[in-house]
Amino acid sequence: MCKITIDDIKVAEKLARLELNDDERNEIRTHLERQVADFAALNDIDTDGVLSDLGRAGDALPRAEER
Amino acid sequence: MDITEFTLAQLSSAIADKRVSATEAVKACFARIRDTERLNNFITLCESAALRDAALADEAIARGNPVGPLCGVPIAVKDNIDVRGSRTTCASAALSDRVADADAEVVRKLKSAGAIIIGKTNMDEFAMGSTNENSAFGATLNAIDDTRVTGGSSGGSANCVAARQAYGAIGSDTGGSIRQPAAYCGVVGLKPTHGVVDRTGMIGLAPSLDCIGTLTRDCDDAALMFGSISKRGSGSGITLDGDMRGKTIGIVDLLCDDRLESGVAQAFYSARKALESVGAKTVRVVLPSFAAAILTYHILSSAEASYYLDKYVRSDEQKRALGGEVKRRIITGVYVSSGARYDELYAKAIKTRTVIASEYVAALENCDAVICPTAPNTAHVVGEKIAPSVAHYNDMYAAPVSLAGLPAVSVPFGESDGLPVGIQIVGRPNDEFAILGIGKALQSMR
Repeated sequence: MCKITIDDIKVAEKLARLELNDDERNEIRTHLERQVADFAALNDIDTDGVLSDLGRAGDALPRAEER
Repeated sequence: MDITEFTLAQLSSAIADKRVSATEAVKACFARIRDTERLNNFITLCESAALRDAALADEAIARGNPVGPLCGVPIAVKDNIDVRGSRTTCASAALSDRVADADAEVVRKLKSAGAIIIGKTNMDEFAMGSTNENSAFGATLNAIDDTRVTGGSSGGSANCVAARQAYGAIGSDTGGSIRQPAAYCGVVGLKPTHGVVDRTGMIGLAPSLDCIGTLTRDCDDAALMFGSISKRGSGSGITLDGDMRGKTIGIVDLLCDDRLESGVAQAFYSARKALESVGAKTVRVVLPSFAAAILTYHILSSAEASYYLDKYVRSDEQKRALGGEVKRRIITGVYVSSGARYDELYAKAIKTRTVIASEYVAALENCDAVICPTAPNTAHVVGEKIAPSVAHYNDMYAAPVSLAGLPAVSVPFGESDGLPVGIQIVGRPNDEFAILGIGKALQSMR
């Protein structure tokens, strides 16, 4: 299972310009760790050669660090 | 007869024929809203403006002026869509004072068709949720069983139609937010093809997925309302076919999923039999990537929400006022679209979306429509503790259709333990009237 730390959450808070309290941080960390573990199932989908989202690659969001 | 029992189409005819006045219809709705106030379907009521508009509609009819297909019909609007002069709160304490200075395009179209806007409906905060319990204005209670949730995020819109407080309502649907509450409340919920209803003036959740659609008592009403708000033109004069002979219906092969309640599976099986009994041919449809869709949906919708919500929630004070689910999704969205996760999760989800969409499109090459349950369950008890990671699966059948951008309608069919079940009918792009015709056939056999 993917390990997500409280520091990872704090980094995300800074990028989101959102401040959580300790309880919220712990709750979100637990939730996110479970969800990211579930996301691993996407690796079962073969996307080799798939280039874009319905031909709209330009719609992709910028990285959170670049917003 | 109590005029709140009329369908939208019946009321529209009665008003045009001067058997009922628009003022009587509006007053009947507000009386009904007061009688069933505990359901908590509205955040803001527009009673004085609605009575003024109804009087103008009655005058226009009395003079014999040409009127629109929704003339005098009371309609409710979800509180993430602007109505000039009313608050648009998105059910968030962060936007509790935001007053719209212009109508959203969909509201402008409704008013052009003659509709009377009676109020703004309750919802999950910023459309994030599937119970309507994530509202700063309190949970809505299901009109069929008030110990149960309405579903969400368009819970107030679905439930006010079920409770006969309005003849139709506007909702928004990102991954099931019209269809799932329609299923839970026993009404018809139409999510049109992505982009076919203008979203200008709507506070969106995830623009690549967001759609504005309708909640109504039956499919004829949905056709009338959709025709009035779609970019493609007027809804007057549209007659739904409802003839299933010669039609091929794809049956999504997913009933082995252990999240599907047995009562819902039974209703789905009965729906298939009912369609076959009136001449439809059914074929099995396999969507190999279906199970990955809900994960893909949550990556993309969270990433987009974390990016676009910043336009509306800017100050520290507003951010502190956000509810737990909104904060959870913003952090999730930032996490999956930053660092190494951008390629591992976000970019992968974009590609997976393409695969899922292409599987649906391929299935629809051989069918007129594809059906599956709208939700794997019926409405749960208000206040029941359900982990967010479990609650997300409420949209497991609805979200894949959103990823593919296809039109879909949830039609009530059968019950499970006394609660309504919705059947989702998915069509090809721009086939809204065709899937509503199939829905009409199904509803006639409930």
